Amino acid sequence: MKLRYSPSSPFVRKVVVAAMEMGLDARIERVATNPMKREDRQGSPNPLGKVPCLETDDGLVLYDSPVIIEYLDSLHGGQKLIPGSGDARWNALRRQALGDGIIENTVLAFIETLRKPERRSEAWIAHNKAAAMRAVDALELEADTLAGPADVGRLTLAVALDFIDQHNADSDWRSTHPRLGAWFDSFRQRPSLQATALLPWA
Amino acid sequence: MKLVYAPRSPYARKCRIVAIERGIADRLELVTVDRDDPAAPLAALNPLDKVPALIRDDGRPLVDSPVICEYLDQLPGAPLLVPAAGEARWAALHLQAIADGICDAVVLANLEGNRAEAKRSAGARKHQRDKVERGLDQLERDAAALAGPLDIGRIALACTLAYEEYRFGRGWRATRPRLAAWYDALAQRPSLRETLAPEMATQA
Repeated sequence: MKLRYSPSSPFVRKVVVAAMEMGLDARIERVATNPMKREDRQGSPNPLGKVPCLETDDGLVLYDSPVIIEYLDSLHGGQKLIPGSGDARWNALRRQALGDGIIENTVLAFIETLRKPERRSEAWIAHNKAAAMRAVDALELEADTLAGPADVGRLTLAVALDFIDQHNADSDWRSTHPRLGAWFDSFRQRPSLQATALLPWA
Repeated sequence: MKLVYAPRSPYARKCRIVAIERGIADRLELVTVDRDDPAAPLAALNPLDKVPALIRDDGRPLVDSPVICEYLDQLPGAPLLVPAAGEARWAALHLQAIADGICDAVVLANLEGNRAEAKRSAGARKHQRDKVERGLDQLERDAAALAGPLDIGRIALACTLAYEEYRFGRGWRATRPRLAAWYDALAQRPSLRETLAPEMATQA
């Protein structure tokens, strides 16, 4: 399998973390792809140019990260990252969506800061940062339920919280969200998360 | 259950179409929210401040649209719109991903145009529009694969094309006759007609 890969993408990191948790990482060849470069976009089987994108051995092209992770989860016989049914399934998928949303909002805020100051919208930056932090607020309320297996929901939340730490270094979210912070600082010791620190965006 | 939606949201429309097609629309109460109402903020239902959000019968919320559609699909009803396994599942989820991804770019390009003129970036708008054009070009090339039973991928694509047409007009059709013919046929389905906000209809 080939994975269109960027060392700065949190969504790529999700896939790599998931693959490590499933023991599939060694079967995935990484193809360096910078979605901001035209020639890399043109060489990608994803017309939107986004990473991650997985090309499977039997010729499937899969994106985005939730679809890729679900495909990988179908390839192994161990503990599934996406529970098959019931509360465990919907909690995992809901938390994945919340984590992906935190990442998307943080990316949108960050991209806005790259604009020339006169074209930058502080309101848009604030809107996106506020949405990410409201999701963090909601997670604090359910922090007691976060203890449990490393499913796709918890892994995504860990990648998302790490991304906030990387991009909003001044955000002191742990002091106002102590239970979530305690869960995260323990969960992030997992080898899959320790082995996959993101490189800053160039 | 309650579906928190906006009448023009393409992502919420996916969920409404799934409920109608599966014959469970009577179990789904549609609720609109006023984004600016401080007494009943959308953020209380979806912290990410987006529609749709599904409030299940026990009061617990679900996001986002692929998760809601999959949840609605496993409730008793027929037919199934998210194939359970195998190649059909990957094909449906793949089509949903490209359709939703194009739609995200339509939304961002439209937001760029809505900015105060001094804050607009032609480059940022073009970056998003290029994604839309490349995505639609690929779908035109693969249009033969669109024939087949209705599933979540085809529903998502129809919602995306309707939204593109509403925001940016019918220009997408010019170089994509097969995609346009497929869309015009599917758009006649009652579930699609019923869920298209009147102001989104365009004239040939």
